[in-house]
Amino acid sequence: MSDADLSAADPRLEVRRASKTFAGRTVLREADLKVMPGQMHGIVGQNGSGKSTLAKVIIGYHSPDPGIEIAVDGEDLAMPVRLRDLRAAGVGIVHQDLGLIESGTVIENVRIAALKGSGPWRRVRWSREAEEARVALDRLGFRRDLRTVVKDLAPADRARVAIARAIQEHEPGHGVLIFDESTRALPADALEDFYETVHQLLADGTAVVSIGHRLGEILEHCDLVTVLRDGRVVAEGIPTEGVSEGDLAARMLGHDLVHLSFVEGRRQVGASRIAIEGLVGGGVERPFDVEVGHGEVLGLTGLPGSGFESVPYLLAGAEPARGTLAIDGHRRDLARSSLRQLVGAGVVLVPENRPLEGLALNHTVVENVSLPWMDRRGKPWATGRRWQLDEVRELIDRLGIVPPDPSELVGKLSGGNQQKVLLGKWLLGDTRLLLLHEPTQAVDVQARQDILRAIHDIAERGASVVIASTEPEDLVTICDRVLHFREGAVSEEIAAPFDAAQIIGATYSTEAKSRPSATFRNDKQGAIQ
Amino acid sequence: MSTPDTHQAPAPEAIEEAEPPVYHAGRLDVRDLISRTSLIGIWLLVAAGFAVFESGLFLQEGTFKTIFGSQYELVFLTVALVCTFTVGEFDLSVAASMGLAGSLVPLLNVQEGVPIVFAVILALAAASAVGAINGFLVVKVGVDAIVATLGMGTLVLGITLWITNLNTINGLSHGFAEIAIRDVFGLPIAFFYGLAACLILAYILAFTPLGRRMAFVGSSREVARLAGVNVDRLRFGAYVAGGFVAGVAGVLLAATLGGYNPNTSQTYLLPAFAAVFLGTAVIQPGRFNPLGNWIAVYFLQTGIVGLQLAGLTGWVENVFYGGALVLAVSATTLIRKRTGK
Repeated sequence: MSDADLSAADPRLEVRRASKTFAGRTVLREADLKVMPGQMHGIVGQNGSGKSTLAKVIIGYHSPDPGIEIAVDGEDLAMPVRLRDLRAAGVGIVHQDLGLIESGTVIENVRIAALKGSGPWRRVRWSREAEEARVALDRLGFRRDLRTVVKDLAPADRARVAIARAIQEHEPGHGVLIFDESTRALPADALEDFYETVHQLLADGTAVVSIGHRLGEILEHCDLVTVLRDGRVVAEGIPTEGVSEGDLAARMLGHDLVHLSFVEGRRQVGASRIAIEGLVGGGVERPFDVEVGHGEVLGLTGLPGSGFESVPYLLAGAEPARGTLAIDGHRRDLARSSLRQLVGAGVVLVPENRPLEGLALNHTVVENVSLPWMDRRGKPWATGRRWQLDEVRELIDRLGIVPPDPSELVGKLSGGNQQKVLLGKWLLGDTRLLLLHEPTQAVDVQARQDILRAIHDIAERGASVVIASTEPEDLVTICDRVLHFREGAVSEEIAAPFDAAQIIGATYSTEAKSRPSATFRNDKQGAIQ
Repeated sequence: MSTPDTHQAPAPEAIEEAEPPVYHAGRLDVRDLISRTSLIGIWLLVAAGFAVFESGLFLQEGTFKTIFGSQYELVFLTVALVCTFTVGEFDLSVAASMGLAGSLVPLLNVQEGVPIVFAVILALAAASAVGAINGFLVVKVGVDAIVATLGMGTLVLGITLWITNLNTINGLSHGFAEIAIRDVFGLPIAFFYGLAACLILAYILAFTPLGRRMAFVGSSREVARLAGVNVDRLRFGAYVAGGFVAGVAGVLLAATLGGYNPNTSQTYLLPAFAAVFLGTAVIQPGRFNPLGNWIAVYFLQTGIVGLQLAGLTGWVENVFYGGALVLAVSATTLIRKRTGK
């Protein structure tokens, strides 16, 4: 395509000073990105580093903070970004897990946002839509009938459908294609096919931005890579030539780790108290067995969707599970245990989603904290104010909740203090098994320290703790042992002493080639959330 | 952001206040007080306005009795609605349940000769059963609450009209009427029943574990479930309780009137909703609260009686109830926005 030469001097996509603040918290700070025609540019970073936010700012899903500039082929887009302008400029995105409607046909999935009505009744003329879809699909080497329902397609063809939707308005050789972890749902044998298609587009002159989670895949296929950490670009567009996964992991992690002093005195891990056998459910696909001792903190980690994050919910009875959970020798069948029974047995769940699952924001601190203890501490005719206040004041002291006011509405506290309330709510009783999911998500350094210290205290008093987390520093600080999950099962045990690089290495290293394609399953999408 | 001092764990900030803040009681916040009582102020203003402009008619003992001696069935209906609203549900069938109970009492007692005590028990059981069916459909089957209770309400109303042949059945004894209209301090005793019902529900919601759980189920079902609260049982129970309380309203209405005209049931639904939403603007702004309902019911009644005395009849009730509902809901929404909820 010779017309690509005209603009060869200009970057296909240039983003300057992209920032995004959510409710006072800046998750992306002055990020720059430059992608030339025919280049594939990888963006990597840990969870919460801002890489997905950057993609969503570029495609206009999030409205960015003022000061940003986005130029396509040398032409600045008008701010704020409007979806229409982006599409006209040729920016298309392929979403996480491809974003296809399973029950729709190929034509419907490709054309959904571009359908045109015609005639007085604004009818859709499917023959014309099919022609349009065919043009884009042909470029990608799609050979199936366009009326095939998407769920009957092979994974590689599903990817083609998703890509066709993103590039259908590009002239060949133009446009920017953004992959937001698009290969997550693809099995190993479809990956090769997928990248072959992508490289064809690149050869035409299309630019590709790939937000990735498998470092090996990024290093293999991208020309340049940008690393984000804590919302900042820490390495902008470095060539991937000669870079190793270890180098990249070190850059993602950075060196300013927070070291918590209280860990010096290691806890005594006592005899096994919790025995989990044959746990299956949610994202856990193969039976999971583990024993956790008195005072032990067990970490579970892996990529999002690998199953580790389901474990706390399964053990707490919050999601349907199979398997047994033995506490102090008392075995229960999880399939037949209700959440209430497990709470009664001292099993406590601190879920990830504070506003949805953890706390009622329009109730006060004291109301939230005392809710689970009404049965045991209150009387049927009166909740009893004295014990609630006494216990809550002690918690406020112990966890350093600010402001120290039991009657403050939880919704008015900062994220870190809300998390402390959420944790504190479960500290009033005799906790035997504490289950946490991302306990330090979106909290500041001080709050994180307080929270980890509280977890440490609980373990020190003899409780067994299971933490599902993607924060390597947290796991290093607090855990005695970490189990790494991949594809719904434990893939590696990391025993103390270990460091964050080991956890990052286990999580982000490429073992894609060894992934059995049988594990490709779309029906589990959404089951984890 | 990360500065070297994050490498050492600073001691948790010393909380330098000897005296923890006082919880609720004893803290006087004037703005808070005004926002909690503004509706009472408006009520007094409305009454004062009528007193000035229609002093001859409005400032009569009879007017006072007209306002407070009626509407207790509406108070009970608002209590029934708050039962379900508190747990985050919705019940459009309360008026029909009230009509069913109100019709069954004279039907069973006058036409079928069932002793009055059993007639009352059966009527209450029937209204509770309507609530139980609502609860089953919404909680167990998972039907949308608006659809399920609207359908049940229409169905129950139809059945009521059918079993009564569209007629008003009269002839309940004066002795039975005494349970509702016996004079206590110049007002029918049912007025005090209504007040008591509001106070009991307010107590349950504010001071008992049951009430605390209901409030959490209403504001965040998942939080309550993960805290070990039996969410579905509370939701189901709220529907049954709502049906039962609506049944009480029907029995009292039948006793007062000596019979019941089933065609009037639906006219109670909008006023009850208006009062419940208006009630969220007072006492505990932004929350459904029974004392707020009670004030709202009699605020609305004061306005309507005053306007009727001024010669505006027939259409004024609809205008007043509908207008108050829209205004109250808007006001509540604004309050919630301002308090940052």
